[in-house]
Amino acid sequence: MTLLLQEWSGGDSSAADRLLPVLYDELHRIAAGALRGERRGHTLQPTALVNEAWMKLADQNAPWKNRAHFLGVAAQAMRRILVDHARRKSAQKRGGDALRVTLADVAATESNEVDLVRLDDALEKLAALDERQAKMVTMRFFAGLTVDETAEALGVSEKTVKRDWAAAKAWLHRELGGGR
Amino acid sequence: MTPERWREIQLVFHEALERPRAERAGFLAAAAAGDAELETEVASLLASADGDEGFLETPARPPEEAPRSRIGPYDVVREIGHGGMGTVFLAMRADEQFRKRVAIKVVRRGMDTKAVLRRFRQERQILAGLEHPNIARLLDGGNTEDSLPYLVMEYVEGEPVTTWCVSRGLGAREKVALFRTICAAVHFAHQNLVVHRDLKPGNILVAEGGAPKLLDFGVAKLLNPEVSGQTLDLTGASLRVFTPEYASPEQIRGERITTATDVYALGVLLHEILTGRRPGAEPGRTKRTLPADLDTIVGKATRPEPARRYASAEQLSEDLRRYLEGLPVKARRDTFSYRAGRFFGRHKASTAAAALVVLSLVGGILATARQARIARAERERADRRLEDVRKLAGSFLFEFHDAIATLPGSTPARELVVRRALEYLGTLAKEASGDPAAERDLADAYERLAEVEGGGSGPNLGDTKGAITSLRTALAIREALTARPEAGARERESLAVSHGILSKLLLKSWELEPAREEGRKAVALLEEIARTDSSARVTLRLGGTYHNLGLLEDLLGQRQDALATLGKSTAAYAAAAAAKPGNVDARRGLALATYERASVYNHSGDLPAARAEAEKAVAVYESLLANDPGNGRFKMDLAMALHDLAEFASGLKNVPEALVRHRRALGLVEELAAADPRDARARVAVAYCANGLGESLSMSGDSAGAVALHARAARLSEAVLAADPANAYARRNLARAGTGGRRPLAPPRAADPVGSRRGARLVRPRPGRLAGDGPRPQAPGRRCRGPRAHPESHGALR
Repeated sequence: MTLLLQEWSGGDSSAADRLLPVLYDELHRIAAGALRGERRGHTLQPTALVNEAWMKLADQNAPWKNRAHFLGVAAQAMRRILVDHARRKSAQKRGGDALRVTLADVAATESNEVDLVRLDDALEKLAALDERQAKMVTMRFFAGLTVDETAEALGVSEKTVKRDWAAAKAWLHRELGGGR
Repeated sequence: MTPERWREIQLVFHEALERPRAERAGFLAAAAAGDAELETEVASLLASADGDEGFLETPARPPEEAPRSRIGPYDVVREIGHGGMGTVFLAMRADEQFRKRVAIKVVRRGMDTKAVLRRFRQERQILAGLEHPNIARLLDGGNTEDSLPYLVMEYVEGEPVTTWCVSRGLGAREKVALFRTICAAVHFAHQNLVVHRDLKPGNILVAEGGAPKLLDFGVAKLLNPEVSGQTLDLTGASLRVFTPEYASPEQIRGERITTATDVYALGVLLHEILTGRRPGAEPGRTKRTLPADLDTIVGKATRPEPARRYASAEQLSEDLRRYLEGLPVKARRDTFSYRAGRFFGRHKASTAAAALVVLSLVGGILATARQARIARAERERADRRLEDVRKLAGSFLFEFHDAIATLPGSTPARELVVRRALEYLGTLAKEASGDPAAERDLADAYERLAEVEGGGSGPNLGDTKGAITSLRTALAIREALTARPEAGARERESLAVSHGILSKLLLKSWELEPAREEGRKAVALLEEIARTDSSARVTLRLGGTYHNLGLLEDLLGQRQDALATLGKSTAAYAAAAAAKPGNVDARRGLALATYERASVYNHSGDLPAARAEAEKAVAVYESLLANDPGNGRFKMDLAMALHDLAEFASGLKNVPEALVRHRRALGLVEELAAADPRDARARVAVAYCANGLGESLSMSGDSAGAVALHARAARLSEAVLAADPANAYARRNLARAGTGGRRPLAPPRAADPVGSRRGARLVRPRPGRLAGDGPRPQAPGRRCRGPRAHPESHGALR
C-alpha cells in the first residue's frame, strides 16, 4: 500500500490505477458495514468513510505527505461507488417488469436530489475544460472534503479552491438544467 | 468551448460576481467589449450561480437500502425487521392459487460477494431438505436484480422464546420441557450436518399453540465465508455473522465451528430462559438463583473447551430429562471425576483415602474456582479484541501524532488523527464501561484533542473554545476515575494536570477568576502528592503549577501573593535542577518563573528589579537555545523575555538597548511563523513583537517605520481573530496596534463586506490621536507593559 502510494505520488498513473480498486473495495466494505448498522446513531458521511479507509489503509510508516494523494484517489473511488450505484438503479427503473424496485434510495435525501449519473457525465465534460475543477468537485461533493482538505490535496490555496468551486458549480448547475 | 475560452469566461464571471447585482449587466457589457458569445456565456453562468444555492453543498450520501415492493416472484407486504445480515420482509407468492405467506431475508449490501453466492448455491439444497416440525423451512432463494442474494422461508408468527416464557408465566419444569423440544430440533439439524451458528431468542419463535420454531438454520454459514489467515482489522468481526452474547469462545476467536457451538448457545439460552439473564450477567450470583443441578448442566453446556461440553444437543436434552425425573444428572458425575482426576494428577503420592478427605474439604472451593475461571476466561476473550483495537487507536493517537506533531504544517493532519482515534476510543469506552484503562485512554485522548484545538505547547488550530470543551470532558472522566476507591496517586496526579491545563486555557480566553480556581485545585492536589513523592516529575509539575497560579494572581492584581507563589515555583525548579543539573525542563522552568517575577516587579512599579530578573532569565534562555538551536520553544521563550527586557530598558530611558532587544525578539518569532504558516500562536507572537518594536521606533523618532509595524500587527491579529474569535491575546495585540500606530485607511470593498465590518468592529477609530503620536506615553519609571499579552510568554502556558 505504501509503495503504491509512493508511486502514485511520484506521478505513476498505473500505480493510481492499481490503487483505486483497493480503495474502492475498502470504501465499499466500510459503507456496507455502516449500512449494517454498526454505527447506529451516526450519520454516515463520505468524509467519515474516507477517513476510516485512511485509518485502515495507511501504513503507519507512510510518509504523511501522501495523505493528500490518498484523499484525491479516495474521492475518485467514492465517486465511482456512488455513480455506479445510481446507474444500476436507474437501469432497473428503465428495465421495468422483471423486477421493480422503487427508486427511493438515491433520491431519498435532499443532498442527493442531484442526478448523480448526469452529474458524472457533466463532470467528464468539465474535466476536458479544467481537470482540476472536476477533481475539486469530486473531492468536495463525493468525498465530502472541506475547503482546506481539498486545497491540501490539490496543492493550491484555499482561495483558489473557493474561486474554482464557485465557477465549477455555476457551470455544472447550468449543465444540469438548473440555470435560467 | 476550449480550456482557454473557459478561463477567459471565468475571469469575467468572477469579476462580475463581486459586483452588486444591479451593476453586473453594465459591467458585463463593458468587459465583453462586443464579444457577444462571451457576454451570453457569463450572463447565463451568473444566472445559474444565482440559483445554485445549496447545489452540491451537502456531500453526496452513500446509498441506503431501497424499500422494496417486489422480490423475485413475491409481493412484499411489509418489512418485518432488519438485523446484522439483512432485512426481513413479509411477502406473498403472487401467482399461485392459494396465497402463501413467506418471510424473505434480503442480504445486506456488502455481503453480496462472489464467495457468498457460491456457498449459497452449494448449501441451498441441503437446507431445503431440512424438514422438521420445529424448524422453519427454507423454500426458495435467488438474487434480486441489484445482485443481492435473498432467501425465502416459511413465515412464522410467534413470540421469541424468552418473552413467551415470561408472558405465559411458565414454571421451571414447563420451561425445561419447552427447551427440550428446541434441543430435539437442533439435534435433528445436526444429524443432517447443518449447524445453526446463531441460536438466540430472536431466532426461536413460539407459535400460539406453544410449539417452538427455529428460524434461519444454517443461514449464518451461507453468509459467512470462512475467514482464514485473517489479520486484525478494525471492522474484521463484522464479517462474521453471530450474536456476541450467544457466541461460543471458538466462534469469537474465528475458529472452526462444530455442533458444539450450537450446544454452547443452547446453554446460554437455557440459563436465560430459566433466570431471565444470560450467564455471567451478574457473576457470582448464578449459583444462588439456579438449582444446583441446572446450574451444573448450564455449566457443562457452556464450557469454554468445545470437547468438554455435551457431545450433542440430544445429550443436553437427556440430562435435562434426568433432572425432571429426579435422577442424578450426568454433568455432576462428570464434574466430580474431572475434579478428582485433576486432583490425583497433581498429588500422585497421596493415598486415595487422604485424597477423599481433602476432596470433601476443597470441593466447594474448587467449584467456586471453576466458576471464576470460566467467567475470567470468557471475559479475557471478549476483552482481547477490544484490547487490540484500543492499542491500535492508542498508538495512532500517541506515536503517530507525536511523530508528526513537530512537522511544520501538520496541524490539520494532527487534528484529524486525534479525532479519529477519539471516535474509536469513545466507542470502546462505551463497550467496556467501567474499565478504568479505557476511560483513562479516553481522557488522554480528549486532552490531546484540546491540545491540537487550541492549547498546549505545540502548534494549534486556534480554537480555544473547542479546546476548553474537550478539556472539561477529560476532566469529568478523570474526576470519576479519581473517585473510585482503588484510585491511586497517579490518578490524582493526572487530575491535577488536567486542572492545570484547563486553567491555562481559561486564562487564554481571559476568564481569570475561573482560571485561578482551577489553578488552586491543581496546586492543592500536587502539594499533597509531593508530600510523599519527591521525584523530579512531581517537583517539576508543582513548579509549573505554582507558576501558573502566581501569574493569575498577578493578573488579578494580587502582587504580593503572586511574588510569594512564584517564589515557591522558583524554589521547586531550583531543587529539581540541583538534583540533576542536566535537567533542561528544570532550567527552563526556573528561567520562566524568574522571568515571571520580573513581570510582577514591573507591575508593582519596580523597574530596576524587573530588569535585573529579566536579564537573569534571558541569560538562561540563551544558553538553552545555544545547546539546542532548532528548538522552537526556546526560541519563543527567548523572544518573549527579550521583548520584556526591551520594554524595561525603554521604561528606564535606554532606547538604543530597547531597539536591539526588540529586533532580536521579532527576528526569532518571524522564524517560527515562517516554519508553520498555520500556527496561530506564532502569528500572535509576531504581532506582539512587531508592536513592541513599533513602539520603540516611535520613541526613537522613526514614525514611518512604527506605522508599518503596527499595521502589520493589526493585519496578523485580525487574521487570527477571524479563525478564533475567543483569542484574547490576538484581541489585545490588535488593540495595541490601534493605539500604537494609526492603521492606514483601506477603502471599503464591496466584495469583502465581512472583512470591512470586522475591521470597523474591532478597531475603534481614535479621534484626537494622530499618526506619529507614537505609542502610549510612558512616563519614566512608570510601569511598562509586561509580557501579558502573549500566551507562550509564561511558564503558565507551557
